[in-house]
Amino acid sequence: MSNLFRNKIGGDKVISVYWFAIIVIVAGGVIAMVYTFYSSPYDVRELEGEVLANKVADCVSFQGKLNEELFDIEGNFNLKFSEDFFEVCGLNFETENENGWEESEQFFVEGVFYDLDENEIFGFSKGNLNLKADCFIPDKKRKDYEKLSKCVEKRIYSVGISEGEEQYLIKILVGVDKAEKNVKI
Amino acid sequence: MLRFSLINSKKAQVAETMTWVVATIIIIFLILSSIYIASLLGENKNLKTNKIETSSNYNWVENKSKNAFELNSENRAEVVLWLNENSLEDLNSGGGND
Repeated sequence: MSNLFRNKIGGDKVISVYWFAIIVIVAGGVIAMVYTFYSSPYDVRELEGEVLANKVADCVSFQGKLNEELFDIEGNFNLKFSEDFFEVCGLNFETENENGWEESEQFFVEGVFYDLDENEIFGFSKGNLNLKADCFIPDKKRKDYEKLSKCVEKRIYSVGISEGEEQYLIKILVGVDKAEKNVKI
Repeated sequence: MLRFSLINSKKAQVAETMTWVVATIIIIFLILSSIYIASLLGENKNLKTNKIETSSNYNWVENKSKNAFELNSENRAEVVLWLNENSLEDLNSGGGND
């Protein structure tokens, strides 16, 4: 009879240990879930590219007309626009001095002007043009796809500054790398 | 009588242990599944612009190019068609080769 009584106490203790183990497992699981979710960074490169593309579009064309800085004194396209791009558009491609970013630029911008027959008549580019190749890799299922640069394309229509108001189709391509801070590597 | 009651008690303990073992397995399975789902969701944390507004570029194009169309709206349909194309989207959908 005394044995039976002891047995009951032992059973209760085992159940308590079991409960404790379950609580530890569940708590550990919740911690693991939160850690795995929040340890991956938010990928804001596409958003960053959209903002940059909009800024470039605003610089190139304002109120429907092309920026006068795109043209030289004779009214031809200014071939030095690429060099003056930062100054004219009030932009810069500065980034944090980490992950080796100071050695290679993390952005690139390209603007191409077409006539209505889609013949290229002018273009400018700025930044790290090595990133451009990433824009045209079609295979999204590649394992390392997320580590490639994110690209954004914007198309706008604008007219020239002369009285004839020539029509221009403008394609703006923007690439943003910064994979180290936007993708879990 | 005492012996009979002891046997019954052992059966009850085995049943209870089995219940707990199965419950533990289910709990561990659910937790591992949740951790896996959390890691998948974590990998796809992309912040994008509102696709309702920009999926066709219609609003953006309208806003940006509206003034230009007011100045010169010749070949408007042709221009709008070109504006709504996107080399990158075409590429990803297996379309054009711009």
